[in-house]
Amino acid sequence: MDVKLLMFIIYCIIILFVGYLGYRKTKTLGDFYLAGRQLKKWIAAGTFAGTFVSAITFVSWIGFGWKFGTAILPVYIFGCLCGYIIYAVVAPKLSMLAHRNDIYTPSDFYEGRFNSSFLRLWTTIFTIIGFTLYLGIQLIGTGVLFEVILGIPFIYGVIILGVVYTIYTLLGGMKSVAWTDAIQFSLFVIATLVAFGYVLPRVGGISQMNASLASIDTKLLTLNAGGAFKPMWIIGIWFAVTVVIPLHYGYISRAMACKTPRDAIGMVGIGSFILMIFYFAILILALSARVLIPDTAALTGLDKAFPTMVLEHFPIALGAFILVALGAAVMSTTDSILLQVGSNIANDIYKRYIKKDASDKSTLSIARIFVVIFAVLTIIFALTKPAALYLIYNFFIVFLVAPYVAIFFFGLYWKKATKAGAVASAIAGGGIGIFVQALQLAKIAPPSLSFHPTLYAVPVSVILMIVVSLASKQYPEAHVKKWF
Amino acid sequence: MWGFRPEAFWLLIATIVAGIVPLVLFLSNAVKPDRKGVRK
Repeated sequence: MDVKLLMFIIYCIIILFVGYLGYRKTKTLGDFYLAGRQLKKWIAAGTFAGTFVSAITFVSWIGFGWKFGTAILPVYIFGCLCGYIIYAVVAPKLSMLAHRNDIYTPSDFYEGRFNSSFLRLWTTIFTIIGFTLYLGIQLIGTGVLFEVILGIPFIYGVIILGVVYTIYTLLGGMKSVAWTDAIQFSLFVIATLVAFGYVLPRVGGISQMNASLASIDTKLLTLNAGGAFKPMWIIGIWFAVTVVIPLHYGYISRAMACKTPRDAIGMVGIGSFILMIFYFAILILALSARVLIPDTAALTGLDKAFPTMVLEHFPIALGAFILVALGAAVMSTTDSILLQVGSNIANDIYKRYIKKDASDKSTLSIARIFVVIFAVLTIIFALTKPAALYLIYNFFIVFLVAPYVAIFFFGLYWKKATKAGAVASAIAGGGIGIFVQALQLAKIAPPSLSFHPTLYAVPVSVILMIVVSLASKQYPEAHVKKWF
Repeated sequence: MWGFRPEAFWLLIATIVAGIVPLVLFLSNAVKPDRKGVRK
């Protein structure tokens, strides 16, 4: 049997065993959603970073860097690091509010803070659509990896990983997810650093790597791919990547799952520091990939750059280790999304609108049923294999940013934000984001609407939040005290 | 500067600094949320 495949099977068995241990410790809904709000900073940092690094990082971002060179720095990497700073500020506050008001999901926060069940429904719908795209990206990335590195047909790659992560998410919920994320995080950080250490001498060090890039195409050393990307396009993506981090349901939940606010900020501090080192390695791997595979016509798509580099330029044992790590990166992200969607549907739709007196046990069962349904749907979506991953990623960000920016930040930090202001800004933000994105996808957007949709949606939603809130009735003091 | 163009090099440095800021916020105890209501 292929050594890469064998290692991967052993790894899947270990992960399933950890999932089973989580199952034995999961007794209540709180355990399933938020690990009983008992996560300490080190495990939380592993699960935060583990969720953050995914197929997108290895397949899409390295592919992007391979094709467009150092443009990967302003477009994706710098935005992430800026996002962590904002997340470090909001995470302890989210943790404190989750404990104080006994909330589980971000939608609980939006409904509770603004006393609006409409906001719960609106935010849940956007989240579910956004995560369908996101999970689809992960599965497509997995399929590409399996196809290139193992020679396994795309369809089987998607199904194998899909089944494994669905099972262990089902078993234990957040307890399994947090522990397996931490294991997976350690694994892919080590693998990335080993790959970095292996590849750097082969391209002659950083200076020689850049000299080689210059000889291939001088545009590769620019921040805008030699003018291919307009400054406003780069700013738009940077902004969207920066704000998507504190707004992301998975990260809000991580902060809520921490034992104390101090653990929450520790989670971000430790996680960001490790991720910063990790991203430096990703940058070098992306640029090295271009040095090793200089001809863009050699690959059928930019998503194949990293797996091809592993297959053709790395020794088999290292390739196998990296494959396992890549699988880990994918799984540690997808399990969190599955858990989030299961929680959303069970807590925010089923218990809220369908069966209000549902017991914890039946809500937990519903959450698990929807984990399976959602997993199957996204596997089907992935098998259609649409556009390059980074394009779907930019689309996904619209769903996670456009309706939320104003209600999240003003909800957390502005006492005068009211229900009317929040509803108006969420509807306008979400609506404008989707409208502009639809025009761009249909290729009928005028030049004035050619930047990232969030650049249009966010200012309007912020203005509406301020104007409408000031014009509408304020909350009684008791309500404000609960949230500040 | 390792063969990077100056703008790319400085953006790289800014990225590294940004990655350290949250750790500094944690270690310096700069962000202190109200702990009222946190159950032990």
